[in-house]
Amino acid sequence: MQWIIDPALPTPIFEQLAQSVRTAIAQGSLRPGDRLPAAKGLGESLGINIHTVLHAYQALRDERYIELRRGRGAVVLEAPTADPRVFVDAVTAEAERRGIPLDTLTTLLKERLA
Amino acid sequence: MTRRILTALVPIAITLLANAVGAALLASVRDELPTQIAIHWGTRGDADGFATFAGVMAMGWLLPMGTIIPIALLGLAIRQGAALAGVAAGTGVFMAGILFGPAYAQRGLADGEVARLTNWTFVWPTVLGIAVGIAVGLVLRSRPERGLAEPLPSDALRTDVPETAAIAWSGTLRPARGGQIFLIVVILATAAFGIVMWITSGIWFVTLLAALMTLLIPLMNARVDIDRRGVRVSALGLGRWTPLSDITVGRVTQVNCLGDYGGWGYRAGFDGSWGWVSSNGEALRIERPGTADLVVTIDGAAEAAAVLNTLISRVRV
Repeated sequence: MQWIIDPALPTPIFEQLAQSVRTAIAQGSLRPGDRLPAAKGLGESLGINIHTVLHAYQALRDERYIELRRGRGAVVLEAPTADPRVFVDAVTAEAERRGIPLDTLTTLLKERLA
Repeated sequence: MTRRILTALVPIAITLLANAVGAALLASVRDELPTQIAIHWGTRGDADGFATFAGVMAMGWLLPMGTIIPIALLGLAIRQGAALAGVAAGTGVFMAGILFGPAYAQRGLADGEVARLTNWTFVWPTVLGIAVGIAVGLVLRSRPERGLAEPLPSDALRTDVPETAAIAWSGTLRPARGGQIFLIVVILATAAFGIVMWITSGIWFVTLLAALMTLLIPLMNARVDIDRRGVRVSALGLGRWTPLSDITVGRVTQVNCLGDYGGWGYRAGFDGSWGWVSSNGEALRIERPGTADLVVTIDGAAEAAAVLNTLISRVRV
């Protein structure tokens, strides 16, 4: 899966990390049983503090996207697929990353659904 | 003499040397050997196959050379000379040890029928063969100059992210359930055979072999990491980064494990590439100037290639 964090965005880094995981789960590139990278390794990859990664993993655990297992690390759970907020979160995060105003996004969605 | 020719000749020369040493040692104790020398044993460790001194000598020369020469020539043909040179040299030493060693151990016996198989018969040729193989592979491997990567091609996939964004990609080799099941079946069968041998004849070597084969299972789930440091494929906590400066571009390709690499695992490809190939289908091909391309069978190869190329574009002037 792809990891993207942008310090220039107002969204906290840990939340951007968590959103990367939610997006990957929604897109199917992360499946139940898949292991996320170790927090230390992911922190080194992205040049961020390990605690920021752990904060993201803990948020995802609290939302029941993953579970944290001693010795195995972070493992993806069966996604709460019935929750449409998964997709809304993914779309709004992607729009923010691309610099698309939410008003524009809302207008486009309404036009599409009309 | 080119390096390619050398990688074919070195294992042949090493095998000839191992054979010569084995034959000389055996010849030096010819008078102490039984007339019928045991050359094969059943699972209970009892000798059930015999040959004369001349027969043992003939086997000791013909079998290793008959095995090593095709391996060395295959390495030449598929441009993987250094890797297969190591395999060939190690195999040649192992075969010389396994063919001459048990015969040499029968000096002083009046009858080959009482010769017993021991764990030592297998252990020292295996250890020596592996050591020689690794040494030959390391000495003959190519040492490309670093940082020779060319400018990123204009048609390379990229990901659309701001320059301020940090990006990375992580995943594992695409699992192949059939391959994993096959490997587990082979391990269990080897272990079962090994346990029978251990119980009936005290030979634990085959059981040890089965235990070591379990290390192959994590290799089929190797991790792939792509970030500002480059690309790394790792298993069992071991792996080496290929820096971005040594990579020209990442591309998506299709792999047929058997047709392109002759099997599954970490393998030399028939096109000169090295592959971590676990299942057929899409793969990421990492082009590296001056050395072999690296191919990894992963889902999301396009996304991985785009991340890799974007990272390359940031460091490539």
